[in-house]
Amino acid sequence: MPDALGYGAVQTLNALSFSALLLLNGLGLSVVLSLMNFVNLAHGSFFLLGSYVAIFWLGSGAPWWLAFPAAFLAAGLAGLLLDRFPFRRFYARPHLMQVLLTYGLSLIFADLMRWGIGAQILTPELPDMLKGVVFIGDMPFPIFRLFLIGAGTVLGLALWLLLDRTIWGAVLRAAVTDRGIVETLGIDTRRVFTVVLVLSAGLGGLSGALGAGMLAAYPGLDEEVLLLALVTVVVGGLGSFGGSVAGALVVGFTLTFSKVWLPEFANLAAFGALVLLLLVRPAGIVAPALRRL
Amino acid sequence: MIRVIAAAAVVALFADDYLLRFLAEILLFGVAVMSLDILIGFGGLMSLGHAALFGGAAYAAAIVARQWGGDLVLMLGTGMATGLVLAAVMGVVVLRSGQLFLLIMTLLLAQMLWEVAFHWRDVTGGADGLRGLPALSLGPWALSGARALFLVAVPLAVVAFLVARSFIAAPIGRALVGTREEPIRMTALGYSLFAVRFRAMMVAGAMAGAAGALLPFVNQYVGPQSVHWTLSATLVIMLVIGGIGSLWGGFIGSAVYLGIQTYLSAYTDRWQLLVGLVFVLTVLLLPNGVAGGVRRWRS
Amino acid sequence: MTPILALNGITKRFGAFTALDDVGFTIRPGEAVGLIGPNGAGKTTLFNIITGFLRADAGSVRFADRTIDTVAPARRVALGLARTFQTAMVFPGLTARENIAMAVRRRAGDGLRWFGGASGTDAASRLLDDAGLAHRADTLLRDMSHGERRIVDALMPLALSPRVLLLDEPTAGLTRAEGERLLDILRRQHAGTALLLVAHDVDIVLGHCDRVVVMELGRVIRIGTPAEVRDDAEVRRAYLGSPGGC
Repeated sequence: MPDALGYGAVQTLNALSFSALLLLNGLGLSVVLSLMNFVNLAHGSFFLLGSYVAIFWLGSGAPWWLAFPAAFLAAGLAGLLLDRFPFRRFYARPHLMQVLLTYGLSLIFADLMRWGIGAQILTPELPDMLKGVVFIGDMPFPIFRLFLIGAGTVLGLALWLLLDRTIWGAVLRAAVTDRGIVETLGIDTRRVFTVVLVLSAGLGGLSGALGAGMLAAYPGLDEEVLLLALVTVVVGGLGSFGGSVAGALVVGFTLTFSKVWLPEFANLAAFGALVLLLLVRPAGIVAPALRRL
Repeated sequence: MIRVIAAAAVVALFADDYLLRFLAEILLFGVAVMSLDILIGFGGLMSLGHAALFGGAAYAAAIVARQWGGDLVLMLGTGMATGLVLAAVMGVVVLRSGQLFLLIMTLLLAQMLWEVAFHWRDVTGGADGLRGLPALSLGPWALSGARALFLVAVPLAVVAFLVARSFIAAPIGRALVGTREEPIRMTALGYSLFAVRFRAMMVAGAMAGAAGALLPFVNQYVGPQSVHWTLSATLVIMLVIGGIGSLWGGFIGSAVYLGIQTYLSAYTDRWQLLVGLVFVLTVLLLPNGVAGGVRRWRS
Repeated sequence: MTPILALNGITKRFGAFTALDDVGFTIRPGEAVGLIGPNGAGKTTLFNIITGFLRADAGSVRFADRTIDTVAPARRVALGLARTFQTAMVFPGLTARENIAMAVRRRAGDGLRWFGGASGTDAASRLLDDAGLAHRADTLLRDMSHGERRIVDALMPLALSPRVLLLDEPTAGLTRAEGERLLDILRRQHAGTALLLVAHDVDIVLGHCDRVVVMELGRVIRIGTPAEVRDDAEVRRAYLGSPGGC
């Protein structure tokens, strides 16, 4: 008879670590979506790029903890280049065109990565500090996932402070509400948007680096992660930090526990539950307070 | 129209089996893309779950065929009924909401169908899918060869095109365009957005279902990939390459995509890269697709 | 005569801001009522509540002796309550004739048909003819001038033959002459349609309406004939500028 309490605790921690990952990755997608009204279906590519960068970094013998900034910078650089061309031309276009462009790009990136790296499943060489398990009751739990929960919480808080509590965040939110006014203040909104996209891409890459220890890295992961990020963002509700946290927790727990209770039809049950949730709360859990018309 | 029939007759006489089967596949995908165009091009309804209607009908037809045989009328009926039912479910769930929400809800619903197809092994064959289907038949005649399949696909495509064209030109089609261009005004004129969009969804479902029903016979196989969201995305790619808002563009798009997939994959592993490049270049350079490019070049 | 539209105690708050405070007035069948007031008076909010695009916090809207507070916007149109919007809301990718035919078909109950029914293009052509736009009937709206678009925009709800037509700034962006012409068209063709007209150009409202409602900061401050309103001291202060002022 397994330790029921420990089992429950371990599954809760599993859900939390998955939620932390979903939060970081979802935030990356959510900032461009809610702040710039730009749908970026290439977001999963940033994630996978970050995973690969981290895996090679950890395998190279360089200081392990630098793998995460490296992934952030690599994906951020990719974001910077994409912002220059062709994203910038699409910021003001309809969602449909943005979806088409970024999905097409994600296909190209996916194949380029498969070309350069191959189709095998890669797992990172974790440093000794993050290897191994701790016991909760009788149940083993990977230390890396605890690290993930911690990293997700810290980075999430930092982002919240940055976007909600600094003058820079205020400029950003103002630029979204009324671009014209902000430009009359002498602020170049184009540069603001560039920074947001780089931040978003970097977050994607960083989540990929963190996620590699839990999900590994392989072609097709980019699509899976993109789907999860989209669901997280929509379930949580656009435009609020609290929404992203709520979305990540709901999706993380739903997917984890449906795998526990209904292993065969886990995703079916989880998606069904999320569809129901979206039917009840079409604007997400934390709906933006918008005046219609 | 006469030219189309004449061309089809010539092809049917002289093309080899491989080419005929390939052309039949292009036509079936073309019909599915055309039905998606009704939603995206005319209704502005960005669906990422269209493969559920197309592939769901393919599964339904294959399952029914294994029980009761591959009678053409039965197959088309099964496919259209499946397409209608799935489109109705999808419509009720997704059509009351905005663009982004619609995208994700269609995706989620379609992935639910994929989960069913992938895991319900007793009925769907699971990851292996279904093989060994009986031949398609019409009354006493067996329609088993590539030529027969091609000769079924051509009239299906022609009829679907005429149906789609008449739908778009009719008041309901104009109303659909109205809901895309200025939904608030449509409400202020007393139109129910849901009523308009739901009708479009049903027509698209029936068309995609009819085409999907024949897909297992052309491919001699149906598997979970045919309801996966990547196929939905592929249908969107075909639509964009062919030209959003042009009904016949769907056939061009499916021909270009399947052509690259079928012929280039023999020479290079990088055919997906090429598809992506063609797709992105189309979005950047020909926002109205090949059909739009042709139109602009003519005028 | 019983009113066709009666507003009673309409109140609407957005957070701490009270956009409408106990607004009430009536419109009789066929009457043209002007609604004026400075920016922020609550005119557009009131329109949105009457047509069902917004829900009031208190008060009721009665239309043709029936309370319609819970009726959806599209259903209110079917009852005979039509509107325009502050900006021209037309279908840019359709021709002028198709734009108006969209309304004609809805009126005839043919709007969702696939087969049968009238296309509505004859009636649409007649309306365009009357408005002096016959030569532009086959032009796409996106290729039309702002003034022409405004006219099509106003003709669309008119084609529904509504019992009450709410016009939100129909003359905005038009020259005085264009505005006069548009209102001439509306009044000449409205035979039996009551109008509720919002316009910044006070002269146009006073010149074309039977009665005028003056609002300020969400409240009705005066209701009267154009002559009465013109001479009212409070109205002058609130809206027209104080006597002897700039």
